[in-house]
Amino acid sequence: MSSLAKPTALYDALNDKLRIDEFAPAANRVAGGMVVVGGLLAALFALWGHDRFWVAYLVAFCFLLSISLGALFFVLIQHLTRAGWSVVVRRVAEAIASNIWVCAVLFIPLAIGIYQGHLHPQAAGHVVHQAIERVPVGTTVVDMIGKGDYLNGPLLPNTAHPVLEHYKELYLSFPAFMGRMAICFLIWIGLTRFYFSLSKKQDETKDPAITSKLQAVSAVGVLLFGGTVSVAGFDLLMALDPYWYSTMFGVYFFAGGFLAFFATLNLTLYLMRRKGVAAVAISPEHFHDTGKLMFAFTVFWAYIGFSQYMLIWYGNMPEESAWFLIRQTGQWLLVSVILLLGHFIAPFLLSMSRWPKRRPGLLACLAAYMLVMHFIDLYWLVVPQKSPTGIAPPPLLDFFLLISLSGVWVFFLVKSLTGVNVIPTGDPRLVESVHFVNQ
Amino acid sequence: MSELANNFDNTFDDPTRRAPLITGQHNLTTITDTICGVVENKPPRIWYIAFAISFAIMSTLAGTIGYLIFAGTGVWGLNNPAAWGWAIVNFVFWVGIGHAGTLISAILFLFRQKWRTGINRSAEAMTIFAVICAGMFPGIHIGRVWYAFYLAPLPNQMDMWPQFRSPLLWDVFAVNTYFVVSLLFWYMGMVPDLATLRDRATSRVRQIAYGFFSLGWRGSNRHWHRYERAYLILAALATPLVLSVHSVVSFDFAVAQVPGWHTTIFPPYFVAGAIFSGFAMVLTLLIPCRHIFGLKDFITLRHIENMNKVILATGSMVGLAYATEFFIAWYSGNPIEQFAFQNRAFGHYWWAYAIMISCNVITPQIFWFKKARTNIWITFVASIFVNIGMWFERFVIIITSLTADYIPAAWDYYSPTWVDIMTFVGSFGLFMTCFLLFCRFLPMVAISEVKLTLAEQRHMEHIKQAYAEQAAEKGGEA
Repeated sequence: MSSLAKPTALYDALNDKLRIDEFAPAANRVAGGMVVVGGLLAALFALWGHDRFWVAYLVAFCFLLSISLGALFFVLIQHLTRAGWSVVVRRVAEAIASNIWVCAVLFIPLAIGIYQGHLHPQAAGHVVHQAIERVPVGTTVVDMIGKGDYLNGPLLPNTAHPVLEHYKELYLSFPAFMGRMAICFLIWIGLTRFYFSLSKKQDETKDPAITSKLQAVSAVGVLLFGGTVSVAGFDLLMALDPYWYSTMFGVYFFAGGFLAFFATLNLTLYLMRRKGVAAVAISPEHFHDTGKLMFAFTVFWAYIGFSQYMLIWYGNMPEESAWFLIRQTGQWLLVSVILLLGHFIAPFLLSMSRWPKRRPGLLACLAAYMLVMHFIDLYWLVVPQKSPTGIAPPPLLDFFLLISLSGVWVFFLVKSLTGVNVIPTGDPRLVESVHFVNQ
Repeated sequence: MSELANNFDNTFDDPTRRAPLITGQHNLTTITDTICGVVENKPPRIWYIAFAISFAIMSTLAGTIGYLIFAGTGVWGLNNPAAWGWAIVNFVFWVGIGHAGTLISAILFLFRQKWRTGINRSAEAMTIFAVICAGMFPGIHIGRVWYAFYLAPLPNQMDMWPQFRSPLLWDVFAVNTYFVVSLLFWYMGMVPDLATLRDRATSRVRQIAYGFFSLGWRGSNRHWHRYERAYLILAALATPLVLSVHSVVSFDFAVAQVPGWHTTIFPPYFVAGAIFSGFAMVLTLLIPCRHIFGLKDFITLRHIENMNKVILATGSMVGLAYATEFFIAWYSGNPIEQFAFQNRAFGHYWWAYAIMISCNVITPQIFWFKKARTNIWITFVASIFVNIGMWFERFVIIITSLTADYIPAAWDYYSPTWVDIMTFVGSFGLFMTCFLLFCRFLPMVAISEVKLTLAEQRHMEHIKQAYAEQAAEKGGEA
């Protein structure tokens, strides 16, 4: 019973290179480069299509926020389920999650844009319904598309509710919107700081009581997370069309973000290991698992996306189907098809086998690809709302702005990971995680 | 071999060590003896009593179905707006119950949740029987049951095909697929255990019966290898099915334009509710079973606590979905949607809504407390409440929306008849009869998987010891 070999894996893992400090300056140069070059190019292209700046900003912001939120959920769920396998990858997830404060800072310019009326019509106090002509009863959506003015005008092929109810105007007004976002950010920042700081503290104290505390909070944390993510999804993305609604929307926002988080995690772990950091502790076994989760949530995203589309398409009620109608007309149809093939079918086929999941390099390529797809997904959520007929210049502004803001985000991620062990060396389940093997 | 006392408390939550999942003084022999003993020995008297009652109730089901077929669906309480009455409520209820088994056997398997080994076999059996009960209701609901085969797309001389655009047909496919895969999964997982029963059988009949169904299993290395690969593949195939079946069931409602039905959150919300009710039914069945058949060492308090946690999590998800529906009804500004939800909560059926909320959302909140999670009686009562609440959830969705849709002139109040009630009660007779027969003739706990857990339990001790050595060594260096 006690004759098994000495646990060399753990020994090696703890003598691994566990800091990224020596690589931080290089990483920061890359991040800085992203900020500057991306920013300059974005500014250049903003001259070309400057009216789309705020839309591009919202896409980039939601991209980063959704990844950080996905990380927060991952950390919470690992504690809730008392997971052992994931301990070695959890520190990076904690750092990604704690980047939510960066998103909060990035939210400030966005709030200005919203206040000025570039994005959410109601939040800007723009009384949209005054501009709306009542559509004659019996007019079909297709008729209105045919006339063309519908697509250029307000997005309202809705005969039942051509005006927003007063209470809804209040709900979507700027102060109410800001109030809700403030509460959400407060909860998220509170949770992420709590988890990151206590986990770092455990590196030194090795106190298992900290784990017990983190586990106890995780149950409440998941509950708070579920509510706030739904609200944020509704407010940031669904309310771009103040008339459209879908109960599933919050889940869709979450599904995409959680998937993008796994992509970010795989990519980060790969880059770290390539520099020899935690190269023993984090083995292909862990990549296999994070790869499996990335695969699983590719399918989950498709399941949620399909269900939402299917139910609205089948119900065929104008106030709901208008949102999808824009996205299956003209240029946006192409983007929708790209999403179907590129965000689901291709990665589904590519990452089903265990072969790519156990090859970190290959998995990192897939992860990078999934991040591009996540960007397109968010782009597809946001931009058609503002440019229903399509966009004239290619979306280079959006892309470079994303690079630029991601640079800021990466900079602070590197900062969070500098000076700490990249695996939680004080976690009581570390040994289980290091020894973990897929069967 | 296992050093744990019979009353060992394995519900501790200590991050430094994993809790053992098998308590008591067990080794490989005693595990086989205990589990096979349930099948081989004369069952306790309570089994006969329960079987007699279940069988009697099942007989009333035969009676009510016979009467229904003889007299037509007019004997039910259906009326003009509410053409889907209890039959569809019962259908969705039973399909929901049938979700826990495959979740436990497939999803928890992929998530490496070892505690599933104590409960998966009986949960899967429960799934099979629940799906049988579920499938019965649409079958008899069509009125002329002798035409039921038209549900399947059979080529025929009249060129009549089912309506492929109808979610009711998708249901036929979804539920049948689920049934077939669950059955295969259950049976395949049971083959090694059936072989054990075969090898131990003393009567000729048993030798032949278990021998036939154990498919010539000899426990060779190659057998095990194939078995494990097949198990993994079936788990991977069954995992999306857990989500898809109840999603398709939710489509029955959500694709329609009926107020209160047409809402996009339905698929994941139905799935969460199904898992919620399924776990509740597993608890309702296993709490008495583990006591009667002496399986407390394998279905431990920790298993029950874990299931209670799942119930708390899924119950809260369902609560969040209720809240989202209400919020969006308000947010949409659609007066008809708003009315549908007000009518649910405060209309004629307010009592059903109140039962639903108190059983589904409020009851599970008690499981925030460990004392409640590890108390058999509280768990048992709460699990029954959840079953009741989930039945009422389907009642609320189906009845309140149908009886009060767009045209007030067409509104009506729906009440069940005695035939409705007895058919539903009778379906419990069918369910319980099947389950009791399962307990009597098949291994209730997965013997081979539990043995594997025992082996890992020992290995765990080794890891702990190794960790201690490692810490000492590190300390020495410093």
